[in-house]
Amino acid sequence: MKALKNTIDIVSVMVLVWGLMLLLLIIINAVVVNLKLPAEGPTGSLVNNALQLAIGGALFLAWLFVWYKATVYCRKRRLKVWGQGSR
Amino acid sequence: MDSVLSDVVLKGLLVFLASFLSSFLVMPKVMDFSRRRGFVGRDVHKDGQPTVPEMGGLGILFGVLMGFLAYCLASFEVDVCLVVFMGCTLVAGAIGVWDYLRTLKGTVKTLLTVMACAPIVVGWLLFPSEVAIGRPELPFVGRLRLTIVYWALLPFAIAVPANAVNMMDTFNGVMPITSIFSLLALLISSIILGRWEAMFMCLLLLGALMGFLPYNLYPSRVFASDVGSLAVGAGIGAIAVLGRLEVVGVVALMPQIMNAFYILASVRGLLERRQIAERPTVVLGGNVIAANRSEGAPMTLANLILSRGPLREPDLVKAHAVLSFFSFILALATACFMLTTLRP
Repeated sequence: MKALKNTIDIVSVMVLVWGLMLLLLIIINAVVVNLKLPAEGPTGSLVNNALQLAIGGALFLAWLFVWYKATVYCRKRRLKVWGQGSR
Repeated sequence: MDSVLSDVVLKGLLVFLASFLSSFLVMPKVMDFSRRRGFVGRDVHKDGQPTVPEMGGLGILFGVLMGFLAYCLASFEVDVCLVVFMGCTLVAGAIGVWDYLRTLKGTVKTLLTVMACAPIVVGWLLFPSEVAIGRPELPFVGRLRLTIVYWALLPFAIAVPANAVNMMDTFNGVMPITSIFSLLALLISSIILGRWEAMFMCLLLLGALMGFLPYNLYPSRVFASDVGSLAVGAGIGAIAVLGRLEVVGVVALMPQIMNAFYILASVRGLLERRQIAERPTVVLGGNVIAANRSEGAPMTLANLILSRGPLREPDLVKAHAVLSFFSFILALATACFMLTTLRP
């Protein structure tokens, strides 16, 4: 129970990251994959694929950024609790 | 149908028992061998820093190998997927031995672990109908048909888990406990989704790790070293790829991936632990460990757990186990979402 109490906020970060990952998959499947510029032929296909890849990659980087920021925030809060406890 | 199911259950039990007993029984010999050869390391988190035999990973590899032989003998056939899985695990183990003996740079070790995906590529080239890759299944999305992107990501599918598990092997029992939770998640997911080859692979690795666990729990009598941790991580990656459980694998390995991600993000690069000037944790004595609060200290999962206050080593290991248990639950939820997508 003590171990659970000690890690509950890290578990919250984990659940947040997992939820965002599933949301990301849904967005990529429902929105990004259907994005198409009005360009035809092999060049159009290449441009469309590059666009989808770029948007998918940007969303992935945004997910990583949110994950990192959530962890840094969580660590700061925990350090504050430690500081208050030791005082 | 019933006879097929009972055959699978019997083979599964046999594989698990063979790998568990082999690993458990061979470990004293491995410890003796390591001591005689001078393959020992200091347990830096204990008072007096006692020396502990390393190379316990050899026992894990022996257990996996014996389990595989038991499977071959029981089924009178050699399963291609299992051979590929063994190949990935043994190649990563060999890289671990090399790293232990030569102390490779962080980047070199990571690049070498990329090579551990070679058995998958060879298996696909020789037996494309049996080693089906490039068709990952995602929750809510279903089965994808990726060609170029999957091949570009394939080297990471083995290198990332191998190095993530390796980076997690820092405290007594943490590596086997967290890996056992990951493997349990993959095992149950493979049963839910009917991926029997993946189930046998999980049982091979699970048995060997459970045989190793009693020796590695606090206070450790043996360390897995890079041999064990790289092999276990590569094995988990191979299970995820060969069993088309990529997303479940990512979620099941969340604590290990979190730890690796925090280290990479905070030290900004692939560095070997001896290249990092500051340690993420400090030992206070009496087996009590605290987070290093310095700005330059790398952020690890242990540092994050300890950022609320110092803990004794067994309590720190318990906290890791709690996180792994939650990733186990999330991985099972992911597998259930995959099930609803595949069989509406």
